[in-house]
Amino acid sequence: MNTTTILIQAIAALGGLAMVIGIVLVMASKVFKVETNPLVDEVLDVLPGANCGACGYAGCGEFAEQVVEDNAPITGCPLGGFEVEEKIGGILGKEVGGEEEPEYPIVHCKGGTNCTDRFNYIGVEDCKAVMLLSEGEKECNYGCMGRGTCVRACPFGAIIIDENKLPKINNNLCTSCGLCVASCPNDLITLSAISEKVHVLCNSHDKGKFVKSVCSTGCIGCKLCAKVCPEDAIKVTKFLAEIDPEKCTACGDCIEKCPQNTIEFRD
Amino acid sequence: MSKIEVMDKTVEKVIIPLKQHEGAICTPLVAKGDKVLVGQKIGDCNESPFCASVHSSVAGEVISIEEVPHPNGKRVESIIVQPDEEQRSVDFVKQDDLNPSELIEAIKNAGIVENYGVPTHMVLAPLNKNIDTVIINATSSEWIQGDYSDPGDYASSIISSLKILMKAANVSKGAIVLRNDDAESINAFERTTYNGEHVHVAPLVGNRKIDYYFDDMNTDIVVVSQKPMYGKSLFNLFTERVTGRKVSKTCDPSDVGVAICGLKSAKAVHDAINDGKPFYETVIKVSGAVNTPQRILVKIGTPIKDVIEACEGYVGEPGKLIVNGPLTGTAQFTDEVPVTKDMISIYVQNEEDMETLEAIECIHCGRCVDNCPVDLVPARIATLVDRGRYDECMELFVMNCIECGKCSAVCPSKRHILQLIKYAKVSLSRVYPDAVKESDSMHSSCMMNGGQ
Repeated sequence: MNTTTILIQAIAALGGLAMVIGIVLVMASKVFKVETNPLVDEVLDVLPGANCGACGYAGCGEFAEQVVEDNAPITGCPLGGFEVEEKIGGILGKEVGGEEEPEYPIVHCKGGTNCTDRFNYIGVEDCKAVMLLSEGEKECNYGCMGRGTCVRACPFGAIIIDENKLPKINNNLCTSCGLCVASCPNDLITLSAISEKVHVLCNSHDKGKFVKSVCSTGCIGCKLCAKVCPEDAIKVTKFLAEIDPEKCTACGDCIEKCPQNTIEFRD
Repeated sequence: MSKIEVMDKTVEKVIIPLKQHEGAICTPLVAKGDKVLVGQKIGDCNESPFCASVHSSVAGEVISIEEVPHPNGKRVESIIVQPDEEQRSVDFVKQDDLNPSELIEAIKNAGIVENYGVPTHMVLAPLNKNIDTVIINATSSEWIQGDYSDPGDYASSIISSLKILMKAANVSKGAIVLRNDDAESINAFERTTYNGEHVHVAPLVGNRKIDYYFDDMNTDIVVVSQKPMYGKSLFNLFTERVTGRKVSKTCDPSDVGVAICGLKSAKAVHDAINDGKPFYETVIKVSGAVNTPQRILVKIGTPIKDVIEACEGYVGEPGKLIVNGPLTGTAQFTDEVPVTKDMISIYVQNEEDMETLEAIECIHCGRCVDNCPVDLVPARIATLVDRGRYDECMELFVMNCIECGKCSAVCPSKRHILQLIKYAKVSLSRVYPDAVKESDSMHSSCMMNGGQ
């Protein structure tokens, strides 16, 4: 048998096999075809594709299916924001609402290294795990423990723990998905619009005397801010000042007056 | 057996937490400024059956009712009493001829709690379950409460408390389980008589479980001995060893009709019924870096620092203070926490004895697997918890962990396995209301295994 025959035989055998398999595959794709809504693919194309789960579904694919079937609102993707909402609205022929202002998280604690510890903690590095042992290592039961549960919850790497042992949020990376808000065991993180400029960076409802003894930046409920506010926008309930964003004009009087430097302009 | 010291020094203040048991918190019956007497009920239960009343252990004035640190680490509402010079007590009324339901009520009113936190009346009369055998678990080394001149007195008082417990649970069979290396207790029981006959301590071997001895000796109370067994929450295995009744993983001894009481609570029931004395003092074992390690009878609510002082103080600078055993106990951040009803021991470590090594990666040595008394794979579970994969932990039966702490103790990488497992259990029980049942691969009902 010479080389040419071997070559021809091999090509013929493999070519034949390929032809048979090809025919079978074409048949199978015709017979077992799954009807998919072409809209789902179109919607999936405009979604960010991060599969972060902030919409409440398992990933972008499921969200796309649900939004086409009208089970999810077109505003459901917090990550894509208005841009994606507009695109989905265009594909599905739905009415798009006005653009909402983006909301970014604020950490309502300035404690960190300013707050005294009750004990040395050696254990699992996670705020929720710290909570299992007493109510955290900090004297303040409301404050940030700085063990980074929010850092691990953020799929976009927008949160780091800074040198004060407090979470710091990078608004350029943040997509307002809200996963950090849900992850914090002390409910310290809230989402607020960028136009809400003045914030009380404390969550403690402890009495002023106690707060002053354990934390140099906690709200002591002295009501000086409420008195100085020209718009009457600050209310002190249970030893904690709260700012009404509707009334606040960001004049900054309260920030100057606060003896504990608890009230701040956001970055 | 070493003698038990009695702490009789008056302390500066006594802190009595309103929750010293598993279940609902009590409501205070006194207000600031009120005078209380020894044994006076100061906290009472609401409707919830999972609750035990709280009594004052000293006579004095209530100086405040506030949230203070509790040995479990949380802040708990507590009544703070400043003792008077004169320690007057309420008139203890002996309670005779009570029927079972009155006995249960009397035990509840005396505020008696097992050493694992469950109120004793809930052990004797669990909701919707029938009990047919009461067992006093005397295998642990927390020996006796109070001062006996003769070991025989101790044995006969335990037998008489078993009789009360049997009457309260309305059953006709009772057993006392001793450790077979505890010669002192065995001798004490062999010296006593019951129903005119000498008590014989029978060993649990092979198929000879307590039911065999009930028939063999034709009696309603037997005293048996068995091998030492570690882990106070290992009740299912204990029940199987003693009674031969299998308790499946997700059930508890009451599902097969067994009520297990501790020595301390048995003695407390004895005192409550025969003397009318509520549960306000307990024996604590103080060990480690103190000048005289000892067993000491203290009043509930005494701050730990006063108990240490009664043991002549710390040796050197205290580094770590662990309540209820070095393996499973809770380290305390202050010695101002009070002694509670479920407290067994206080262990003090010096600064130089403490291990403060960082946890490193698992090296897959398998020591935790070798040591796990309930055959789990702690290292694998801990890794999954660390990654947040709780559902996979459930497939590895994390809910069956008895939290004995052996895995963390033997881990050469110093991983915080027990804490991770506890974390997983808390997280899972939040998502699945019946996580314990769901983790059972067999989905079997508790009643199938020879239940009532």
